[in-house]
Amino acid sequence: MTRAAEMIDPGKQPPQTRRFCTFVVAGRAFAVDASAVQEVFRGTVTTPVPRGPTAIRGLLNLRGRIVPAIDLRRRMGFEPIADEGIHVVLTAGGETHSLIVDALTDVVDIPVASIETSRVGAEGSLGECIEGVVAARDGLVHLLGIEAILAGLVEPTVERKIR
Amino acid sequence: MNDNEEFVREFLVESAENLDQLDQDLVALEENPRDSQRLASIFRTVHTIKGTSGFFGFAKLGAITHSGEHLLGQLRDGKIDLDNDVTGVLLTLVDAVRSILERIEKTGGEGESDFHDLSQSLDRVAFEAAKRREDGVVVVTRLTPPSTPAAPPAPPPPAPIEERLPADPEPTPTAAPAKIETPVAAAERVIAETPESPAAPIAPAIVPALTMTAEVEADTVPLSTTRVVVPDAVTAAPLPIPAQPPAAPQTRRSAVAEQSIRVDVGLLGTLVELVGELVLARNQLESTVRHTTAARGDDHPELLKVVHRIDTVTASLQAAAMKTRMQPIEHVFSKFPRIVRDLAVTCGKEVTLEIDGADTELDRSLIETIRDPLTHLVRNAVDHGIEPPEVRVARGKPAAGRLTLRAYHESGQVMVEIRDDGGGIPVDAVRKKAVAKGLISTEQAALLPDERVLQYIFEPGFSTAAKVTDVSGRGVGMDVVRTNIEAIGGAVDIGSVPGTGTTVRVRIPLTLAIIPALIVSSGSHRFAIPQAAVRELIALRAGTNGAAVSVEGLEGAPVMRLRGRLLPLVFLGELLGLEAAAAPGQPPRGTVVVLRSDEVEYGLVVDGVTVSEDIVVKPIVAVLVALGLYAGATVRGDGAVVLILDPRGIAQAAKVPPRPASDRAVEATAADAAPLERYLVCESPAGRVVAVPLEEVARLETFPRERLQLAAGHMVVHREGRLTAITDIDAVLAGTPQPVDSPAVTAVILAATLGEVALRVRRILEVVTPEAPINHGLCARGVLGTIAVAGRATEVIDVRHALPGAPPTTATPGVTA
Repeated sequence: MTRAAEMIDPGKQPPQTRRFCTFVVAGRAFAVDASAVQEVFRGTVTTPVPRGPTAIRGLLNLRGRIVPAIDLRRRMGFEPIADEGIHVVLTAGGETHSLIVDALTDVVDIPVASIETSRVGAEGSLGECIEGVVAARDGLVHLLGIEAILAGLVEPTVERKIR
Repeated sequence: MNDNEEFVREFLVESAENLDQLDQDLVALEENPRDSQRLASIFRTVHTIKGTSGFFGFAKLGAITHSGEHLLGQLRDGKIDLDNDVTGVLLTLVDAVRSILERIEKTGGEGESDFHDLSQSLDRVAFEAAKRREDGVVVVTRLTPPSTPAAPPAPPPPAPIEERLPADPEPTPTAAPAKIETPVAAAERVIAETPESPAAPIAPAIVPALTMTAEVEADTVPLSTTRVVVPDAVTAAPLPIPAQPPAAPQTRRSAVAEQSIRVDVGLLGTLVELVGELVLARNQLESTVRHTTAARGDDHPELLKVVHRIDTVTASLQAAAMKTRMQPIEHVFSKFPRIVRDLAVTCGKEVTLEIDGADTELDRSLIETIRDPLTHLVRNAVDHGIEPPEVRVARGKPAAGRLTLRAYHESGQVMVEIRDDGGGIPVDAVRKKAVAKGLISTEQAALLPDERVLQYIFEPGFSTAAKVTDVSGRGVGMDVVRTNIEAIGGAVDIGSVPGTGTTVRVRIPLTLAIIPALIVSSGSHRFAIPQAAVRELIALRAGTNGAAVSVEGLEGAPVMRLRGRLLPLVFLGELLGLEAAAAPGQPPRGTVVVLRSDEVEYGLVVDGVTVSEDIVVKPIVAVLVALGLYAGATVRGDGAVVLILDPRGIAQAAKVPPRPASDRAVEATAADAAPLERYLVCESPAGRVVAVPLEEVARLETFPRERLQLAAGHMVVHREGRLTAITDIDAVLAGTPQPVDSPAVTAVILAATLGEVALRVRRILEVVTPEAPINHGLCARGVLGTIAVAGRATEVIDVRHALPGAPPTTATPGVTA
């Protein structure tokens, strides 16, 4: 959206910062674009989806809307934990998903210039979710791409179907 | 988006609607060229588009609509006649306007296409038609005055009338009187149609007509039959007439416009969603209050009253919200007059289209889905069904074929009937083709009754059309029609009598938003199965020797013997990886849900069936739809999310072999040959044991006594937002109706042709298949006959006597209206 705005309105100064929602998964710091985030709550998932993608822990009833909850630990290849988690509900591509994270940290404005988009030392399922890295006071914060997280959901299913 | 863009968008939306109306109006006008109101409406629409396009600076649109307006003006003023050429060019104009508007919508500009040709042909047609008129006879079709003179007390100037008279001062008397009837009839119609104040709008319309008649009468003698009878109201009308335009139609229009407003579809969706939420909250409130009051041992009547009120209001709100999703099927039907007309011209046929029940409503989301299948069926009927005029005449039929489209509600579904009086489907050709394609053997084909053979029309690649035309006959189509209709839980059925015609019946669910479903369990999981696919439920008993149900292995694939046939089994828990398969040697247990679609039939083995209920279907994200196992999800009353199984997808995932086509047909014949008569046995409120033919039973329901009401001398029950007549089963049997003494009323809902009707019973006993057929000799009022149930004679209710209005209904005592 911000990029589009820059293109349409060249007279205006491009935004200096982007707002991110930061959280912790498996001891590491991650962030997603705050503009996509609808709400955050603590809760459990009641309905698993048999034969569904492994990263989808189940379905949530979000005020009558059926929302799949994506376990970020499983999605990014970390050791899963059975605890109830924090749900970060976000909308992308017309669909609503929830990301299960360990703990919510903050909402921060990050200068666009300080975002490093070349991937830093992460590969596999973790690497494919990461869009950029930002150096913060207490270490690196990995910026997650929502589309990338969702796109990767499909693959394990296909594998399982073939088998 | 700036203001101008917003106006343009509004213009586009409005024009799109107007164009659809134009299509219909033009075709209708062709049928009845003297319909002045319709002509005026067409003129207004084109004029509006022209005006607005000028405002926005759409020059091309302005130019063609200007030419169109000119032509329409000529028509309206009676200077030319409406013939095929004129209608044709006007329809082309509509298409051109539509294409320019689409262009504007996409690009904001009018596009490159030059419509100069069209303008020219519009002008040419106008000129030629006028010329034809001059060469021909007098046709006086001027019905509406172009404008009301400011003060018309004096007789209208004779000039326009002379203009319309032929150049020849001595008109042939044979032609003139015949035509002159029009203004008279029109004048009378205007009089008849004028609502309250007849004087003002009528007089200007009638005066020219009168004068004209008078003038012609002077020239031609035999006119006594067409003498104008002027009602007193008109002659006595005070002339001068107040100078105001005849505004009656306009006021009616704007009144309609004010009663409906445009609402964003998304907003309506949100509304329905929120109501769904409210229903859930209501359910939670009810259970919480029940638990709390039970725990405290105190009733708290005030609280219960409020909860009850919230309950009823929520139910009404839900019904009303669901209604906002409904649209008349007219949105599909409205395209057909134009399609049929164009097609008839292309195929060189004459077709009269009759539309009935266009106001039948169904869910908006379904309207789009059924558009293509129905269009295909209509095209088929015109192209293949109705014969060319000369063939029809040779067969002793009227030259013009009749195509009837009928929509109506039946048993909570929408039925659409497409009927033509054409040549019918050559059944023997279908039979041969089915054999040639290896679908059935020659012997089977010979045994199959015609109506079963016809079903092969729906097989892929099946066409008996002698020649492939532009329109249809390529052998694709009917199978696609069936697939599309079945995809939304509907069904297609075809019947045809050679030489007499073909009828296709399409059954469509009212809505996809709420469907009846079976809630089943497998391990700790619960799933919903759409009831539409469920044929029957069979308990799988473990280790019962000689039981009707037993599971066998066939090349590793479990099957079950069901009434002499093998039914493939799919274990849900195993398929979904919920739990390990039953240990070897341990017989499986649970319930077999027999699922059938047209291609497959199989038994889905689940641990148990919880309940059958109406569920609200909610969409799931694309990733989960792609699994092919789930059709959606729903939220149960307790807030739990339950996945809806997709019976077809499960069959595919479990690799259930498709039923051979021959199996389907032969099995159907077998069923036809020996129809299994089954009866529902129940106990009437007075304690009589009676039977109801199962095929008449739509469903069984229990509802609170408060839902019973007295309306127009009939007991009715408020269910699913509708009122259903309810009759005491004893009243049908000419017995004494019993008071409603229990808080819950159990009823057998019968599917009658005219709607549903409920039969109140005390309780349901069982479903039986008697050994001997029904004995019609043992009958009485309300009793169809008698069957033997477990050695006892049991009366079978004649459901026709349960219909409201048929017998004098006695109000059930004990209920206050």
